[in-house]
Amino acid sequence: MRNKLTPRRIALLGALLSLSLVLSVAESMLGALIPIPVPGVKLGLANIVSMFLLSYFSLSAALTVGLLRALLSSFFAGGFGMFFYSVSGVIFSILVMFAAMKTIKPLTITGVSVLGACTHNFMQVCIAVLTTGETRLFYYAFILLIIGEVSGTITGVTAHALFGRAAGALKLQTKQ
Amino acid sequence: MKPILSKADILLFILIAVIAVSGMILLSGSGGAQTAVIRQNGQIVKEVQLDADQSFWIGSVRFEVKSGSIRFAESNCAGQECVHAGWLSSPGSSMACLPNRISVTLSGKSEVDAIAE
Repeated sequence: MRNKLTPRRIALLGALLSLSLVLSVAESMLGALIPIPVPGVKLGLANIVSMFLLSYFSLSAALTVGLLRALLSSFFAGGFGMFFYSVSGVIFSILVMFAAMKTIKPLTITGVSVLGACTHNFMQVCIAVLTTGETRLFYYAFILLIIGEVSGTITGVTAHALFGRAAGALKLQTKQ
Repeated sequence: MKPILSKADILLFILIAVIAVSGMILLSGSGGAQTAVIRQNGQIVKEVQLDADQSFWIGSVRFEVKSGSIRFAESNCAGQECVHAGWLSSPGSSMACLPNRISVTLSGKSEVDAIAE
């Protein structure tokens, strides 16, 4: 039953997609308010939705919603160039978080979130290196790993506080 | 209910921190930065020595050079992240304005010979 596309499931996925879009727009406004000395740093609030989908829906649901979010948010802000940056980060971080949830059982949602944030940041630098041909940008990747630890912890703790309640309210069961 | 942090989480934290710090140490060069190499779409468009203060435009980005460091002073991009990045002065370090596909890298002393123009 869980993997069938019931109307209820479609409605829930749509609501979660719009929630993730609102979060990514809100966090880009936050970034404009507080100037951060390192470019490209975001909290990654939309990652909370990805982790929720991985925990209570499926990998394919998380990937679909992540892909649509990257596409739609690049319409809102940035343009098509931004799409490649965000889509690569989104897809790889979801795959890594999925693998971590499956294989490393003692990891809590905070650890999964940190892993996702670091993967996302690292992928973006890889795309930047590919498009600019400037391998020295890799130096920046290591700074972004540290930042990923901080932002991943913040979103992970938020997720930890929210998931139980949200799943209860939506009457969702944890996968297996 | 799972605890908020497990031992595995802390191990992961330490692992990522070690990778990050050792990566930074490995990639950071030595010697005084003397030349900034500016690339647009991966191609070198300008090489500028940082001993003389100056300001110049590359496409829609304005660079400023002052007392051995360089920064993005103005840009037409939406996020202005390159401008917020501030001054670049340590050798081997780099920064970029991704929307404009312009990057700037500082080279060490040994690369001064390679300056063409």
